[in-house]
Amino acid sequence: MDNLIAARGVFGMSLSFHIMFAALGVVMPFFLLLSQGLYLKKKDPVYLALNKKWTTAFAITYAIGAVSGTVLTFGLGLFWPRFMDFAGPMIGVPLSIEVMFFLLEAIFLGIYLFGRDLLSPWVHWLSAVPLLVGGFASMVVVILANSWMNTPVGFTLDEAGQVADVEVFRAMFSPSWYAETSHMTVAAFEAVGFAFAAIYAWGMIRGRHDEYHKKGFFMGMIVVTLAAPLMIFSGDHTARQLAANEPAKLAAIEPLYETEAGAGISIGGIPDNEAGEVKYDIEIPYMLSILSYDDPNATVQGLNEFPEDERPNPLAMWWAYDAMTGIGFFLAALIPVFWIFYWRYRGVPTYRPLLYAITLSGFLGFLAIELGWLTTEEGRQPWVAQGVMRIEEGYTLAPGIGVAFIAFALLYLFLASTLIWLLKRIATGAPPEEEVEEAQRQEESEGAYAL
Amino acid sequence: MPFDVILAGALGVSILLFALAGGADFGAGFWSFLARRGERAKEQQQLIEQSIGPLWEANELWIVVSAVILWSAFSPAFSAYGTALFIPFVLAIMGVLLRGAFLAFRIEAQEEAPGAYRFFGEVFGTMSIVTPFFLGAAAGAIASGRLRLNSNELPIDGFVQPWVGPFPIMVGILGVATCVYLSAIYLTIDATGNELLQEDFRLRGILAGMALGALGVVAIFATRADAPYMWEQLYPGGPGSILMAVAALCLFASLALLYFRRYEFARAAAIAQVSAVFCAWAFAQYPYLLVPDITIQDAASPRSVLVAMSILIIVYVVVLGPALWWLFRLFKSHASSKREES
Ligand code: HDD
Ligand code: HEM
Ligand code: HEM
Repeated sequence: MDNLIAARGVFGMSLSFHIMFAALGVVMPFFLLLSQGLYLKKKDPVYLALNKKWTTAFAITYAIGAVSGTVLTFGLGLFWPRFMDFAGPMIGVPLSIEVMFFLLEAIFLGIYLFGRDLLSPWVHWLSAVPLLVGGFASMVVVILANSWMNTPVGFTLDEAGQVADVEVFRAMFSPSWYAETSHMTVAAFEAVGFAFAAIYAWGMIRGRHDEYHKKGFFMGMIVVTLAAPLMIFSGDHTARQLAANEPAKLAAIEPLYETEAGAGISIGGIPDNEAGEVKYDIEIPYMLSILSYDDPNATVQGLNEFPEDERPNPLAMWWAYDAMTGIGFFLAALIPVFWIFYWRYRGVPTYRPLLYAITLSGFLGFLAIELGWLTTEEGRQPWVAQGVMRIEEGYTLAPGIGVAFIAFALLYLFLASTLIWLLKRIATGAPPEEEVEEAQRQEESEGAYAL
Repeated sequence: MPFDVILAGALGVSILLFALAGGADFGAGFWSFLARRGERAKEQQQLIEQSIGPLWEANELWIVVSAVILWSAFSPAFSAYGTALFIPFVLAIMGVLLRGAFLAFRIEAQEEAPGAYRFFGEVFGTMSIVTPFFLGAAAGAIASGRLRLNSNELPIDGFVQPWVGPFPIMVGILGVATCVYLSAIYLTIDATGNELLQEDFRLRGILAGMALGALGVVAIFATRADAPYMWEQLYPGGPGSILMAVAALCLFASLALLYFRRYEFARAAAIAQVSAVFCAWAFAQYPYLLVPDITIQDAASPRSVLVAMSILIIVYVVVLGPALWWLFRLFKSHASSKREES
């Protein structure tokens, strides 16, 4: 296998694997705080049972997040050493801040996981706050590094092409930072919220209409009720950011081959690179100009503006972009439907087609995250740092990357299948009645705590 | 201020912390691997899980801290390591991936599935040996002078030769032995309240310490033969050899203290031993990040980055110090006092 392709493959694969656990790592602490907080306020043992289940699951997913993140940290040096040699000073600072927040999260994870019987209930609850803060901050900061790759600024080069000086803050907050971090944050909450709702929706489909399932389901739906509509605005904001700072990417994802005033948006269809047009699509005239610049007659740059060897290939990601936006609108549309049913059922609806749709959404949210990253990363090609360094200049010159690719692929497969097996066992480990009872018993025996 | 030297110091401290954490799992994976037969095997396994469960993720991150300091402040060195030592580093991170994941699987699988529990333990234990070995071998290659780069920054002798030699291999083995020795001593304290278990790990600690001492003697010859730059500083009577002598004394003291069942003191001596070896190494390697081609000054990033990173290191200490203190207080002092009560 060609080493460049293998290096891209191994890295993309590792990130795609890691991102799922990263999203869980940010949003699960939120669910832990929510369920435990509700339990402490209302003393309803169902919430405690949910909280305990989620804590167990979080212990495992967090661990995988941590080790796969460690792989990435070294992976940057192993697969992209020449890129890191160049970019280390600029993206190293945000990544170093990221690691501080990881450490904070990891330390409090130990406290939260194993401290339930050692701490008083409210202190135990409080110890999950740094988990949320650490997860959230680390996600934002790591994306600062990615946004620098998309819109690199804040450094000067000397004659030899070496980095001579760095403006640390400008490099951290490059033009695309806000769009990317906010979009990813909303995405994480939306995907994980739907995944939680989906687990209990599936339980209800299989006949479990108890409080445990209804409450778990409802908590997930509350989160996505906020996140899914917000996503439409966030997606729009992100696309405007592309128009301003990454025109080649915008042209490739549409795709728009020729520069055009009053450009339309094409939905569906198949791009034909040879002919330079999209075939069999439905076009909404002026829409792209309006969405990008609020002006139906604004000129949008097409791929023809860029030298041939600096164009991203639309075939690599146009479908991913369309699918992501499609999922975004589908998920947002589910929200009013859910609330109408909620109103009609006077409580959590058990209407099966709705439950099936929400079960499906549990997968779609994560799929959209993967597709979004594919859009971002493929849309930047052929650059590893937009306009500054091409991927051929960044990958490793060590031999045998293809072997490493296969080995990592097998490892991830092995890990993922073991994980799924274990989570399934845990999910169906005990019927909820028993768990609720156990939670109750535990509450009664709660005695002296040492702080 | 020489920010580059400060950051090199911080890099050293983070690697030392990783070593003192026994390579993240306190080296306990090895003992878990060996705990198969005998009446107390199950108890030993559980002690190991209790002892590292709350801590290993935080421990693991010290190596990540080292990596980010390297790539922010000394990116050319990071790039050189990643290219030339691709093989040992890839094997080490595969070890990290499997070790951590299967430890977590195992802790959660306890009551769920005994067969899986055993299998997860095997993977965890094996990888606990693989990981420190390859990290040690890579460190040995960096310090030995075996790894020379050509003008394209590729290794002149290929990708295997630099780390397959007496000194790197010896350092790999010493890495494993150090983790194993430290963990046995840590576990004697965690086993407070269970005499039999404590005796098990006391004996293991003594054996591991003796093995470490014997390996240390062999390492002297490997250094002379294969790591000329280290030897120049560390040969018996040389400027750095005093630190090695301190290390040898500490090792001996820790064994004696174990013998007399003074576990807390034995732990202190063991920590001092590892720290002394580490300081000797740092002393011998200074100012090189890659002996003899890349120095700290060569590799340093622009000043603004060094300043930002130095400030960040202070923030690390301020934010993480108290959190770590709480974590250890909760699980290290508490676990033993609770067992004493019962
Ligand atoms: C739940 C997941 C999810 C959903 C429903 C959407 N996105 Fe998204 N999108 C992401 C998850 C995501 C992401 C994985 O989080 C990305 C990758 C990089 C980033 O910052 O966010 C992303 C990237 C991304 C980019 C590229 C940004 C860049 O390269 O800087 C654009 C233009 C959009 N999105 C636009 C949209 C639009 C118009 C949506 C319609 C509602 C939409 N996204 C829904
Ligand atoms: C977790 C979300 C992410 C996913 C799923 C993802 C996915 C990918 C994929 C698929 C590639 C290969 C692209 C190609 O070669 O065509 C890639 C490349 C790369 N990504 Fe990302 N990425 C993510 C986030 C990041 C972040 C946060 C960083 C920076 C710290 C980053 C750094 C890189 C680098 C250095 C490359 C190689 C250069 C390139 O191919 O452009 N990625 N990523
Ligand atoms: C968009 C991409 C990324 C996001 C959103 C992200 C976010 C996160 C989050 C939230 C965690 C906490 C783990 C958990 O709770 O499960 C995590 C773990 C980790 N990530 Fe990523 N990450 C991304 C990419 C990267 C990259 C590119 C690197 C390496 C350069 C990296 C390195 C790490 C490390 C070392 C950990 C382990 C931390 C620990 O043990 O607590 N991540 N990541």
